[in-house]
Amino acid sequence: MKKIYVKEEWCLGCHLCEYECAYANSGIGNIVLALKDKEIDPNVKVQTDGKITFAVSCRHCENPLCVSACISGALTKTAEGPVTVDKTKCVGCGSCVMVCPYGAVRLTKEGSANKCQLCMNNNFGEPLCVQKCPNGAIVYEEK
Amino acid sequence: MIDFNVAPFEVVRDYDKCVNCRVCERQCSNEVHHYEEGFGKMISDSTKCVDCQRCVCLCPTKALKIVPNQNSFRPNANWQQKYLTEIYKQAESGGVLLSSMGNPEPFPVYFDKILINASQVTNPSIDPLREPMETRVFLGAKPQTLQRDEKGNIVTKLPPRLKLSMPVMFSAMSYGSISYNAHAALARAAEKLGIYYNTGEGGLHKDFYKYSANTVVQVASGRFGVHKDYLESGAAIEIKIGQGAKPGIGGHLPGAKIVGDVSKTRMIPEGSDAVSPAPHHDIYSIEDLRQLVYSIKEATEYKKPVIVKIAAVHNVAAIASGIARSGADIIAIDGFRGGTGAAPTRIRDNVGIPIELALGSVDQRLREENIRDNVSLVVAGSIRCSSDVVKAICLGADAVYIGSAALVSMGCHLCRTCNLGKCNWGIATQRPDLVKRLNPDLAAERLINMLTGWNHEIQEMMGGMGINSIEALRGNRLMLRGVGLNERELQVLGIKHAGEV
Amino acid sequence: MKKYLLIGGSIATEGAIEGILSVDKNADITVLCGEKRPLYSRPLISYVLEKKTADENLYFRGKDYYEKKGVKAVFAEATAIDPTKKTVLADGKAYPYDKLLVATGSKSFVPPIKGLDGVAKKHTFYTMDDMLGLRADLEKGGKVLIVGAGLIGMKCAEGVKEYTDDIVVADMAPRPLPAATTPEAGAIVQERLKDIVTFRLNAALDRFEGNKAVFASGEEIDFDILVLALGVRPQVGLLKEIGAEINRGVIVNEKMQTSLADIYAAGDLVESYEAVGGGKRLLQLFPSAYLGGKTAGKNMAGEENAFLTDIPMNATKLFGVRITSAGLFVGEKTEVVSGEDYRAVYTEDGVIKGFILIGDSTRAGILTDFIRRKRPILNAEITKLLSDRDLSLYPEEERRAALGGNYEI
Repeated sequence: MKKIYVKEEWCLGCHLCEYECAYANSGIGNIVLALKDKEIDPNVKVQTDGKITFAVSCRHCENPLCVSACISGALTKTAEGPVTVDKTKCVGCGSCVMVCPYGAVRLTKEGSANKCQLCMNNNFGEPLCVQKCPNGAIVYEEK
Repeated sequence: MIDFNVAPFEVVRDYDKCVNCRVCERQCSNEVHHYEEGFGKMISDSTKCVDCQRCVCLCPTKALKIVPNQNSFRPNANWQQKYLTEIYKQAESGGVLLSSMGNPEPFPVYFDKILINASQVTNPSIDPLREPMETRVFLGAKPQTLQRDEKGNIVTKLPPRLKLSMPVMFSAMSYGSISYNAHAALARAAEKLGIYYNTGEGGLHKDFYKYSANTVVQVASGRFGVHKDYLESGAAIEIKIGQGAKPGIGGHLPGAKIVGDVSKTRMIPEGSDAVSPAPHHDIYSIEDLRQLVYSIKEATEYKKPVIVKIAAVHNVAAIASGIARSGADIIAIDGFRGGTGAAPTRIRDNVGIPIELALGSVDQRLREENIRDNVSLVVAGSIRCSSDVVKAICLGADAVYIGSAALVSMGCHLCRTCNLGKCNWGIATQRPDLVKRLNPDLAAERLINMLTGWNHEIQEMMGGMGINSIEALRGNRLMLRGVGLNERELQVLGIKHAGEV
Repeated sequence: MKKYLLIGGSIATEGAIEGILSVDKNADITVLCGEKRPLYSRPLISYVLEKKTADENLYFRGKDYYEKKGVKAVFAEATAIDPTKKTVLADGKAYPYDKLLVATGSKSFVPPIKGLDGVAKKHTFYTMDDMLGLRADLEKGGKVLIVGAGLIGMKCAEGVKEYTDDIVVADMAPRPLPAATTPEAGAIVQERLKDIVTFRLNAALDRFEGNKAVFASGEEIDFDILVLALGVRPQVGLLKEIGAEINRGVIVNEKMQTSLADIYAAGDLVESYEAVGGGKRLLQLFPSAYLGGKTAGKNMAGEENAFLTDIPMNATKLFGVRITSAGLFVGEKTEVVSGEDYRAVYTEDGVIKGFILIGDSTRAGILTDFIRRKRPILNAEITKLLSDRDLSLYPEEERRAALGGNYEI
């Protein structure tokens, strides 16, 4: 399946991916309206080890621990490959957060689990973080 | 002390659109932008802005624009604001003014006053999508006669040549003046396109020896990074006598940029200034030049063409005539608009001549002396687009060098502050955090795209003229007409005025 | 064609089905569902009681899960295994197997308490039927006494709160969640919940007198509805009868094999390898059941697979207080209190043995992974692990490979 991969040697730590992600998943058509005066809670997070930066988002694991631990069926490993979240089923127990070794699943302010769904649940086509990364540090490809 | 400096630009932020993402702040090496807690918003210090447009391009909401500062000194057609500002600078520093990239002054651009012909009725044009169209060129000396065996194979021993898929090469830009990633991109693009890039005077990084089939290695007055393997790893060797942006003077890469691999590649100690002398101290005549040409040929067993690169100066035709007799295979001429990583402003803006005029006179002179086939001519100094390429070829060039255009395709916005070493586009810098901004995978693709586009356009223009090879276009001045040019200019260019038959 | 027979019908069974099908796509699988319901998620019952999710969401993989997977579901309780004939008896019918999984889980523990028989409305809180029964009573109103302040009792209380504020939670232990938390963390939880739930702690139940609980101290509590949440016990009967090795639970190896040929076990009834302590342990956790079941399934289908990364862990939100923990609370403790958040890690010999977080649990999975993989830690890293832990804590090579797609942590 096509997945998001990170080429950390090219990450500039500009954090554009975070804002583009927040916009893509805001459900709001205008980027200014989507981001203005809002604290963003994106599915991708730029992290650093002090020397280098890298954008972390869901890896869509072959054997996703988050799905194994999900008591509500909100997290599903689909046949096509992506791990999806059904917020309406989530009860916010936080088991997924407890087990994800990437720290890529989080609980939103509203209390339900959320994570990268490869922009499959919006209209941006290819994941927007990939499209907008200025330096090819986030790619979306088959491996 | 009074601060006489006036910001040349003003950063204008549309606060309705700004979402305080701080991308501009993180991306500006000149520290123009920052988030002001007190105001709860982003503010910009325009005095630090160089107008490189990095923030404008990366702003996700397009909230930024950079405009000329409307603050104006009292208008004066003679004492323009620029001169006053420069005087203030020098009154403060006592130093030579430095500038980067090509001469930006409003001298005539002859390419813009030349128009290209097209076929109508009597000589049909050619559709390049349906008919073969040859943009391949070979650079080097051409034998006066060719002998073939009974099967038609050429038996004449041909001099060494460069084979180009299209009449464009990347001109000399040293590792040091531009970044490792910029070099990587140029090398990869040259390989993919079937053309050449040029090391400039900075030596060749060991990582790039694998591109040697598409590399021109340069030998300049400082001889930095020159050794046997270096010479052997070039497809051709270029002796650099001069550069269009700073004819008559040498180069100076400050010690601060001689770090790490740059120092290793140049074979000079870290932190030491890399000073290229104004002349080659072993070349004071054409005869001396001939000695160097043949030394290099000896060293490389006559397998590689030798290029001699000069700046376009007043007596360029006579010099070219000498070079054509020196044993060199290719002459490269760099016009006064050619770029640079750093040059004294007065030199850059006032020395040299336009490449169009230099080319016109050199080609005519070599033809008159019947030595045109001794050499190929490569011209440089602000080739901006495919029609500039076509016009240059019609004026007699075999191929062109592009430098600035290549950098622009990778992201350069000609802010002309390469000399500060803080290039926000990761091109003219050695700062690791900035260098990594240029992903060579993307940059090489952009270079390839640009030249692929140019090549299509060149074919279209050639087809329009009913010409199907660069060979038939070269020196074909009948395909050009001048507009708004005077008699002398037309004569030097060797072309007729528009409307003349 | 190999016949797979699974006794159970909950999470370990689901894991086993996934495991078998990952190896043998057209496997002939039969499930004997003792609970006589399609697959559902037991931990969800409190959320359904709490009206946080709808009844139909209990069937968290869809009501037609078995059909979708091509599995035969028989709603009958297995009563005996015949290991020589390789059959299982259920409802008087013998079901043959080549590979058998026993995933009978556990059952609510109800101790013999004097007077219990005289209590009219009494419930346990473990299965869907338990919840439905309790809810029917709650909807009629009345005072509630929950005996047991462990996770089951407390989650039940949270649900009950939707129906009445008149709840008392009693436990012999001095604090709520005695097993799932440390004394420090338990005290914090207790403090946060003190205005929400009425506790009777250190309270040993002596007897019931009708709808009145009498404690050893002499205190009496009247109630209308009683919930006994005193833990669960592994259902090992089927295997015990045929001589499988059993301690508190059924002993299985890292492939989830019992001591008997071709019989596997997974889920709440097993004592399996636990990575922090390094020995066999009764874990009784949702992810352990799923992953243990999956390992069993793969091995049953012929693919070698070892489950070596199981550890105790728990995540829940109780009356708005989030509690996340994993591993064992042994070794040297490092604590941080930051606003509403309490965080503690337990380290021994340069590795993390356990952690407990009250409040923010952002990227807790990284801590869990440190435990699971016994990743060495430097002292300097503990601060980061306890604050804004992220992928920079993993070795650079591993992180790069994981993000670059050449490796899965």
